[in-house]
Amino acid sequence: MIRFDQVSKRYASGNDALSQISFELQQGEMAFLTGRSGAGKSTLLRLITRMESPSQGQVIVAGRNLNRLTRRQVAWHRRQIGVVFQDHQLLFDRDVFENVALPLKVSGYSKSHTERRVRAALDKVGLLGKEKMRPGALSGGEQQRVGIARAVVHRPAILLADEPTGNLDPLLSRDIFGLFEEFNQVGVCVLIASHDLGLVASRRRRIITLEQGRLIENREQRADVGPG
Amino acid sequence: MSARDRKTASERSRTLPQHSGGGLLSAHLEVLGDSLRRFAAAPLSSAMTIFVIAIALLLPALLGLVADNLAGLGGNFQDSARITLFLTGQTDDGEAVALSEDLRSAADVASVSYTSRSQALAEFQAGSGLGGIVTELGDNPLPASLSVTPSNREPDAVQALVTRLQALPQVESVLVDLLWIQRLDAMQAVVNQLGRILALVLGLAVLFIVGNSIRTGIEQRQREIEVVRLVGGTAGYIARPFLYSGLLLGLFGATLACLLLMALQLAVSGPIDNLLSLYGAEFRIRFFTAVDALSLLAIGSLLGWSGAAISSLTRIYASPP
Repeated sequence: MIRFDQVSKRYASGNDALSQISFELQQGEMAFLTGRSGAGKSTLLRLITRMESPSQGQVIVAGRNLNRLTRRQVAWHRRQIGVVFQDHQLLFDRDVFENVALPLKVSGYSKSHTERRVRAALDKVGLLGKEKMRPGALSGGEQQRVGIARAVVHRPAILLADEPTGNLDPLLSRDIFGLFEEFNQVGVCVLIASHDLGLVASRRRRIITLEQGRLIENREQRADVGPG
Repeated sequence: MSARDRKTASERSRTLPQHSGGGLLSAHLEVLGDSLRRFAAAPLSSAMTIFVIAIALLLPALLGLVADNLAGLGGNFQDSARITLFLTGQTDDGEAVALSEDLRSAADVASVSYTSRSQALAEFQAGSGLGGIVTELGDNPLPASLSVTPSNREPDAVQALVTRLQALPQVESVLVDLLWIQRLDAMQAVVNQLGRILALVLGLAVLFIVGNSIRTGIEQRQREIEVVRLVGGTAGYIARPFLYSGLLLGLFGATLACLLLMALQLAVSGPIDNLLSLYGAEFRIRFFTAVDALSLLAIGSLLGWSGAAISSLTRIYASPP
């Protein structure tokens, strides 16, 4: 589903964010991306969404080489991906419903279809009663769940999360990780960047570890490793 | 491998956009409403932008109206652009009638009317109120005359006709107010040219004003644009609210320009009527019409939309997809 082939990224500032990264995630797989801050996790995710393009190598998503997409195809490519951020990236001048509906509006879905999907997504994250509220009036955990609802409302094939639990307490973090696993169970390919090694280790999933832009570990955790 | 490809294809088809007519229309209406709310949220800066656009549209429109009225005025006087030929004393009635028949058959002459010496005297006595004085003179001092209307009223054609008529032996002198017509013509050309230049310059100014306002809007909404890009908004989708804002700025500016023109017209119509009645002209001033208003609204909207399109699309396409 996602394949990195000898990918390097050097920013215009001369900073090498990623060097010679190669790995592959299968359809329906769930994996964690770990490493210290500055190790290149966010850059790797931004390469998958094509918000950045690699300096060298190829990123292939759903059989398409992202280097060869036209501007319009890039937009269409992003419609099959959902992204969750640590800082949520919500629009504070719109209510919860409008925030979650944005991926559907961009794709031109009908109003009734949009309403149905948005309600279903908000129901999934337990915020059905708060669709008319502004994100600013919600707690951090609720804002994060609005962000998740927006990331999954259009039923993406791929779900990416960049430090989704960075600002949340352990209990909330576990809930959020549980949500991601539920999406994975219905066939969504999930990649979560997190430096919360304890939580990552408890989940018995593949772990990809970056250090200073290099891939230093890519291992499957055995299923019999108990939750921590 | 092939099974995975099939699955991938089905995954992709789930996420294809479903454009339904109703969805698209309501989406556009929503963006329109959003643009209006944004104007209302910043009333002072919106009002100032709209006012500047209105002035930029008002000036060329006003000049165009003045040029049109000058053309109408010129046409009005050219209708009465008659050439009067005063005949020599040696020319008798018979010769004069023969000459008028000759002239009438010429291609560049529309009509000829003959006024004999006695008719001229009678008209003078009736029209001037000085009939008594003329009677006391005993002899009729007035010459016979031919009034010639040229078929072509272009100043050059009239000039050519006058030159030919002056050469006729029966003609003592020729009277024509050609200079006045030429001056009016030249004045109209100046106003027209000025109007065209002003329309060009101020049209560019409207593009610039709208583009600048849109640029500010894009900078303010940078975060939102990032989110829209991330969820798969196309360049067209990202530009859409800015295109509507530009269209509305142009439309509102043009509306204000129309209102200002109508107010101006109301304010000057009294003095202008007074002026025209003093000249005894039948000329009716051409006012700002509904067609003019609609054209101004269309031009304003188009300029606003274009300014927004140039400003937003160049920025969007200059940044990565």
